[in-house]
Amino acid sequence: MATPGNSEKGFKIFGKLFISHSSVGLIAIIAASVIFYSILRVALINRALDQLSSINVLKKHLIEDYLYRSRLNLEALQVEEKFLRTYYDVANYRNSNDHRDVKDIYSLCKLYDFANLHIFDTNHRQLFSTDEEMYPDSLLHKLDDAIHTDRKRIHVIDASLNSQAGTLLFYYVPIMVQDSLIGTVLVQENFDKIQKILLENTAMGTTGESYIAASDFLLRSKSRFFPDRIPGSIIAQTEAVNNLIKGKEGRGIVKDYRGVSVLSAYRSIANDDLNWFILSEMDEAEAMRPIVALRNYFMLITVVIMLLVLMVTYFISNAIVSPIVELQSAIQTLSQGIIPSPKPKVHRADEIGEMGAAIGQLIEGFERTTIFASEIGRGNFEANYMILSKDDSLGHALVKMRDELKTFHAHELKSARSRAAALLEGQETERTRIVKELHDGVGQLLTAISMQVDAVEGPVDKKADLKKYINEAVVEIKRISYNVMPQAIVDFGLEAALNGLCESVRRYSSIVIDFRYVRETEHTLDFDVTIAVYRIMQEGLNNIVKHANATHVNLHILDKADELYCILEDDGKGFDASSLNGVGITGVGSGLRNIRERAQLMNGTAEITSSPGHGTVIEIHIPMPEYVTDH
Amino acid sequence: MNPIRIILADDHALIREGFKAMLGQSNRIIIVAEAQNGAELIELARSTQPQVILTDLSMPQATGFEAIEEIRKFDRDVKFVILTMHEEREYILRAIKAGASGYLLKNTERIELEHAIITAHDGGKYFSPSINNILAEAAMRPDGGEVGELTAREKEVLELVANGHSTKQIADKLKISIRTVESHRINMLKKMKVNNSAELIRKALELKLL
Repeated sequence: MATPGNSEKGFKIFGKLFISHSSVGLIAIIAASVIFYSILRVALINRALDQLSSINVLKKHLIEDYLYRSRLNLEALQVEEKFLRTYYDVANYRNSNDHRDVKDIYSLCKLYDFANLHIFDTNHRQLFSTDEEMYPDSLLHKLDDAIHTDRKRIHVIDASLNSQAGTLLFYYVPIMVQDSLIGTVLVQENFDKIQKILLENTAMGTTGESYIAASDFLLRSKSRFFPDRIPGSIIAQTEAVNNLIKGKEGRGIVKDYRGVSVLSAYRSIANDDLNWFILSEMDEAEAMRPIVALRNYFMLITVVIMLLVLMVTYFISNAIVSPIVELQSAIQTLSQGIIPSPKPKVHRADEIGEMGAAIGQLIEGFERTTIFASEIGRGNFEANYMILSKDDSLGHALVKMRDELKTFHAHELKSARSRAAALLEGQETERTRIVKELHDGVGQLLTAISMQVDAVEGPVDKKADLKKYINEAVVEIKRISYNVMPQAIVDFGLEAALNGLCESVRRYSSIVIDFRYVRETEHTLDFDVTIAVYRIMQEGLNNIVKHANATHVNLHILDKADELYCILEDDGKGFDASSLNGVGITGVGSGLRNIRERAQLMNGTAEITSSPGHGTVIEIHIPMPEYVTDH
Repeated sequence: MNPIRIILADDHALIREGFKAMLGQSNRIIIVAEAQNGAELIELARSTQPQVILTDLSMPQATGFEAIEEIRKFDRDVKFVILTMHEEREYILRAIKAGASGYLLKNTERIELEHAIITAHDGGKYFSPSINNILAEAAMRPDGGEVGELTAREKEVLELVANGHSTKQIADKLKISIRTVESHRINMLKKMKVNNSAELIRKALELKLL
């Protein structure tokens, strides 16, 4: 992961792993959250609705009780004829404020907690009131309208409509004398009491409230949210109220008069005269607040898990990616034809480990192939290549290439040799011809001329001089022709020719030559072998005479059935044999190279051993043609 | 006294002319025929029955040696005098072996030539002085004398050679180079004065060295 390219690759896998891990994690968390949330929500809502419902029932009963008790009290007063007496009292003695019964009325109002008490005659004339204020006629007509069905019983009248003084609730109590109505008592209920019941917010949080709405969709009790507004001015045309109007009590999540989503429990207030409903509600948001807290918890857990996933993913992806990156860079290096060094080391007991091992094998194979190819390139056709499998096409191709090159090379070598041999043969033939021409032609001619000199007339001493010159010319021609090709080699073979060679060396130098020709078998050497060995020895002796400064020379030939073994050793000054392989070989070097080539042309070998001060040894092995094994 | 009847064989007409001119001055020698190659010489020898044959060695269609060998088959009395350009030892020795009575180089003088033919005819031998020198040199080559002692290592090699081991096997066995084995072998041949391994073994057995 040293190069940016690699880290980019690393990130790719890391990114993928991270996305997969985190998406699994997220899905799990979200699924759990959704399930928990929905279960909890239902539970919470049910619990809240249960609470609201019980509050609703409680308040409904309290209000019903309250209204019922007020009515009972009024009925009791009726039975006691309290109002009748007061009626008479105030009807007969209108202007007196000093009557006992009237005083009782005040105490009654206080006792039963009525707001006001008014007494009217049948003509809507107000005979008595605990309040200074007079009621407008419209109110009384409204009352009339409300009670026209049955004027002889107690009614509860809701006169809140268009009222500027808030909710007005009146009890209508008829004053009867033997089944005839003589007057009316209007008792104004102290609505604050009811309001108080409603406002007792038992465990209703910050948004919980119970309120009363009537079938005209207007509120009767004060809104918790709009404490300064007259309840009658607040319209509650809501699903709950609609349900109640249809006679359906119940509970659920609805929009309240503010348009806010609330949990609501709603019931009708059981009363003969009033079409009132009590609703206990609470904002859904507040009811859901525990869930919100839970959601935050879940989010926190999600973040923690994501961090955990990130860490785990980092380690896992590192564990996966770093060997892959290493292997990948190895493959990339390999694809550029370079053998990766050092080799990737992935020791794992999993698929990546197996891949590492496979790539290791690939590299090894590549290496072996490279070595093999370079061996072949260097001309080593004996190089071995282990084929990897039956279907190793590269291996088979390489081995085939090697074999073909080997065949080709052998063929090439053979044809090069035969060309060289043909060239040499041509050369030797040419030499033989030249020698013949010189020796037999020019030489004989000169001899004949020399003989003719005798027949010519002239002074004897002049003729003797002439013959002497001609004779010298003949000797010179003999010397030249002997050097080019001794006649003896053609006529008597190798031993005679070498003997002659040794003779001439002895004649022209002081070197002592031990020449031995050991004939271990009876056979006639091929002329080309004879010529080759003769030329080799000629070259070798020539070198010795010219350069070696030797005193003794051994020239031994072992003529055996299977090979001709020749050794030419001298006690001269020698030379550094390792310098023979240098370029620009001249003198000794080129002579020795000729010796090697001659021997090789006969399928033989020439070994030249020398070191300064220790003489030189030339060994030649030439196999006999029938023993030549074709490589 | 009848002149000596000779055949002159040489593939060069000019040479033949020269010798003819030389010998024409002699009344003791008469040239009965001239051959210009070996085959012709054989035929003429058969038909003319000369007393001395004067021949070159290098000739087309049978060399001088071959002609001598062939003629010897039907005429055991004729004498041969070699007249050649070759002065190498091998030619001289081989000519002597073949039964030549004289060996002259072609630059010979009339007197010498005549002398050689007469000597040959009379059953003697004649070699010109330069040929005699070469023969003397050949005779001086060290040969014969006392048999030398073999060293322990040489005996070791000899035993292995006698047991039919090849040079390579001996070299491997004694952990020495092929050259050393061969030089031991040559040294033994030298010391025992023999020419090959077979003779060496025979001589070693005679001397109870094996």
